[in-house]
Amino acid sequence: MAKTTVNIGNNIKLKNPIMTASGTFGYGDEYTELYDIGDLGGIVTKAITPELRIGNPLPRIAETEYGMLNSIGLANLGLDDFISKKIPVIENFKTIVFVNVAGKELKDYIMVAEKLNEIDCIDGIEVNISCPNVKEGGVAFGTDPKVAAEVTREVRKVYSKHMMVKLSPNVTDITTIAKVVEDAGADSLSLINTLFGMAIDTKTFKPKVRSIVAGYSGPGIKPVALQAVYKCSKAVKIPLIGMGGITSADDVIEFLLAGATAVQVGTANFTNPLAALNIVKDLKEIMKDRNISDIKSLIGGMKLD
Amino acid sequence: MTESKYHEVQAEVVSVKELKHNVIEAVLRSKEIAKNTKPGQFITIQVTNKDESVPVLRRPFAVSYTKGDDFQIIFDVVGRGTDILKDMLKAGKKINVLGPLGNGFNTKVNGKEKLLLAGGIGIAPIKKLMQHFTEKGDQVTLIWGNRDKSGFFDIDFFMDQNIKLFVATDDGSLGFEGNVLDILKAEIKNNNLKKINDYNIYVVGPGPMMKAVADYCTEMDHYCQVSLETPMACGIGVCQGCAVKKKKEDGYFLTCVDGPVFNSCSVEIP
Repeated sequence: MAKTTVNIGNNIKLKNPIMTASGTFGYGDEYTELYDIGDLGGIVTKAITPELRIGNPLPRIAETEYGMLNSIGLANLGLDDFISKKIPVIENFKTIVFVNVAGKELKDYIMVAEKLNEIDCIDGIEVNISCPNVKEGGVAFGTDPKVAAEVTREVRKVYSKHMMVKLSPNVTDITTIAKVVEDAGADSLSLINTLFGMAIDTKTFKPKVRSIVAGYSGPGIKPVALQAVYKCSKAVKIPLIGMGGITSADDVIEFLLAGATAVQVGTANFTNPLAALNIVKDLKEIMKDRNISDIKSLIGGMKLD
Repeated sequence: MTESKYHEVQAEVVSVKELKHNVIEAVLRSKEIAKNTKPGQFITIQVTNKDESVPVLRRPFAVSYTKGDDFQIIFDVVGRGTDILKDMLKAGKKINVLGPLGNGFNTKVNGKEKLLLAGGIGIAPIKKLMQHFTEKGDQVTLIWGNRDKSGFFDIDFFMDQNIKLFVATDDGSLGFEGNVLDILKAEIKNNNLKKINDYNIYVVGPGPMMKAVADYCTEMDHYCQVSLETPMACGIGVCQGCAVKKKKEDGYFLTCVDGPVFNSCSVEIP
């Protein structure tokens, strides 16, 4: 039996490297109707902010060539309701659970992280300094190295479990941010969040998403994500969780070869709600077919000759 | 929340008919979906052909009829997704279906006759609702409006049903000249229909049509149930992409799990 477990740092062990990406998997409970999410390596919940957020004006999504645009605006039920309504469900999940943490100001991140630190069934947080769709906070925290370092450092002070930080591709050099976030105490990095994108309806002349500029995701961004993972793997020592357009087990192998330790499946969950599970199954098959006895052997395994 | 558990199935294509140019009726086989779908609920289909991962989004369709293990969808070929779907639908082939999704129509409002109003392809979910009521033996009146007579299809089927049927066209090329609301008001005036408040009203059609009927209902101190269509990604309440505005308060409903059917008093019809 091929070994599929991977470790993210010294405190997270995934039974396989497949996680689901924040914003594409709700709080996990929506998918338990379809399959046992215990078969996944882990899940990352939708972003949680201190207060409820109703989200951005409409329309919020549009399909494009090779992907989609979204501008949801971190719509979520807020920290208190998350704890009272969703934690009792999450407690039963037999997989690693990360909560994506966001906010308008630094103190929002600290507040959410501090509260989540006390909850046993939450294995780690993913600090979201890369949401492109909110006026305050979001990507603004992830594009300035000083600010990115400060958020990471301050959240680190109140959060003792695994802290993953999610990076934006909408910067000149992603390795600059990766390095300062590593130095400020992150345990791992997840990358990439969506790219800035837009689309216009040529009949009505209106933007297809109301916020005009939105986040572009899906298969079209995979090459962009891969090079970001590759470059960061050369720049930092902490583990990388790669994402961007992953739709197949082969894509997973590609991200691992580029230097990722694990991956997140995002937009593909919308194409098929069983996408992440199917990828786990297919990965095991491929490992058998290609005589890969340990998935860890693939990490950073790209060969030049 | 969704009324019933949904399923991901490989549904076999039983038959495909082009009812008129670019209007497709397809019958698919899935016990899970056929037996569990309530009027107004929908399914989504993965239109990605072969193993290609684009287009990335599934396409939602109302279920328009069920019989035994089979269910039917009717759709206009309007763009990339429906174009691909048209080619995918070959008898014997299996396609990836998720459903039943969303809340259907509230059919348990007692004591009144049922008034069903359809605009254009809005007839698709209305057909399943009509099936439900006629099988129960309820009194059903159906008004179907189109821009002109070329918009109608399968009209014999509807004429064969034990219902009161009215048709209207904007240009008068078939039936009453005017829109669905015009004919509704005219037939009430002519005593061919009862007072609006004597009906449970269900409306599916283009936004402006549903809005006009909803406004008229409000004016008459009544309401109707409307079925909305919005851009949609996941269909199960995860992505928050299919939001529609609440009417009397701040915030949004999600078309996929809070709808697609809403009380006209509670939602801004997009």
